[in-house]
Amino acid sequence: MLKLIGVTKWFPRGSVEKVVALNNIDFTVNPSDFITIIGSNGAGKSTLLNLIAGVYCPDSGKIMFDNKDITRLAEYRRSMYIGRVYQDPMMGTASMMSVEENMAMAMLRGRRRGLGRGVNTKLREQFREALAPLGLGLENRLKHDVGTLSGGQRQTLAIVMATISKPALLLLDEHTASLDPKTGRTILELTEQVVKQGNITTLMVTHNMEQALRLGNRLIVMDAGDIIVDLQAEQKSRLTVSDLIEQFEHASGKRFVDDSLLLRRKGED
Amino acid sequence: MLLSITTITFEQGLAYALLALAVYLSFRTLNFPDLTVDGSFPLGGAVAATLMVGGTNPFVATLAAVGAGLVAGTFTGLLNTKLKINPLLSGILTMIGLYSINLAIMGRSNISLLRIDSVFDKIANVLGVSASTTLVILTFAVLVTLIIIILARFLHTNMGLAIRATGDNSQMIRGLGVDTDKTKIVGLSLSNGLVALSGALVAQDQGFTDVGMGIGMIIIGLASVIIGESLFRPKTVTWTLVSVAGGSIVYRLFVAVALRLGMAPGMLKLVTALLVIAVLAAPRYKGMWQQIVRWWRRDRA
Repeated sequence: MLKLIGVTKWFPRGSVEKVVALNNIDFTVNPSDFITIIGSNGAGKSTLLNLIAGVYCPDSGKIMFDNKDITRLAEYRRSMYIGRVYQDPMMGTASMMSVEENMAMAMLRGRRRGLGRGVNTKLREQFREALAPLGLGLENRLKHDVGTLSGGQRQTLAIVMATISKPALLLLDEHTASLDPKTGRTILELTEQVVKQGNITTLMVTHNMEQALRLGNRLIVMDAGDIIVDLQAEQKSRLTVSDLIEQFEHASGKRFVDDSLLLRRKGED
Repeated sequence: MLLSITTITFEQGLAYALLALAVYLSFRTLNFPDLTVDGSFPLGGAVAATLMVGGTNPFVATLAAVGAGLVAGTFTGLLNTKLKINPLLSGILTMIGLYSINLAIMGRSNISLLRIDSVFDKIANVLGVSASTTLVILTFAVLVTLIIIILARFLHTNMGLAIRATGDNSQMIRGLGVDTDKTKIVGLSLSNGLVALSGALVAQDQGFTDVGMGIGMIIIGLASVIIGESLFRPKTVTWTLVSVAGGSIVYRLFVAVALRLGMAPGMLKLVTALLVIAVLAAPRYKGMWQQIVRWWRRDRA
């Protein structure tokens, strides 16, 4: 469904000391894929998601979505198909607006926004039903500003907002990294559940190897702007964290030294 | 004397409440410090006055002024979104350009409207009463209430939500499929339409329009917004709108009292600027004050 063909991105563009963030990447995402993406800092994971979302355009190469060329399509036009959750819970919600207003905006993903009332009784009921099963009491705080919610509550809301209108593709950018372990686990369970329920094709960047191995049907490892390992479900299921590190060192020709990855490999979320 | 302070406070406060609501729309809702205001306010006066002198019905002239304001706001929006010019600079550029445009429209630097029927005279005619300050105040009160109701409703529509989200978290709302260039342009356009309305009505109320009457309008609007917000601490959008209008009245009360106490009218803008600085600095100043108290205690220990 999503295809990147020879995509290259430099930062900063036009500067003498530019660095390649993505180096001639070919990458195909199949419908219903749940791909976990790992790699050290600066490997190009976030750049990859930003290019797919349309935050910026590649310097060369093509991005195809359902056989349409979307390389130059404006971000707001692609968002019809793409939901996204960021690492920072602040980024996925509007803090000075209420829970129900945030939900109402998410319901209209990619649709025309006219002069109809944003929130009405019927919608409010729908929001309550969507939020109640999460057990955070958000259904009783519909009129509260999102800025008054905790990080975990905001991230939960962000996931609901990213998926409520059933986008074809979901991009998760280390969306549990800034939460405490317990909240992170809850958010991850919720993620698995909504992805499965909606059969949403998903790309998830994570720093957590155990997570990357356990979740999804495919795993890719990025390094210095390249995809250096691409594992399918079967290979992935047999792998342990140390196997994965071995694979990484073999493919990149480097010792595995990323602190944040090392710290997190001991079975912690 | 007390009565005249009250009258001036309400007359001016309500007349400029429209301006304050417009500044709230750009400054708070869109998070866009739009200096176009200093140009679109006299633009409203210029368009309305010139048309009225030419014999146009004052209501039509006022509507035309609103139209001109909408165009001015759109232009600032286009500068910012399409040419990627910094928000402050976009507003300043439109404002400077408007100075010449206003002069060109008026043909001279001021126009008297004393002998021409204003909207207030027309309303008095229809109601069969004489045009008085009370009538002007009531007219403004009705208009401000109406505008608050319309704005409150608008900011809760789907388009209104998108405009608010543009100022709150533009990355997020783009991710939900909103063209934030468009929401910015619409918001700025509406804001300056409202500013021009304010300018057109103030000109008719005071009986003249002057090309220089826009100077410092953004700060007056901002002062009203800040006073309203910090005084009434509103929790919802609708109450914020009411508070902003209230802030405009409180600001005028402050001005009327200051003038009565013998402040030279020329000092008004300086005092307003200092007022805004003081309120903006307050949160910072709080920490500074605690610091000073700590130092003082340490020195004594």
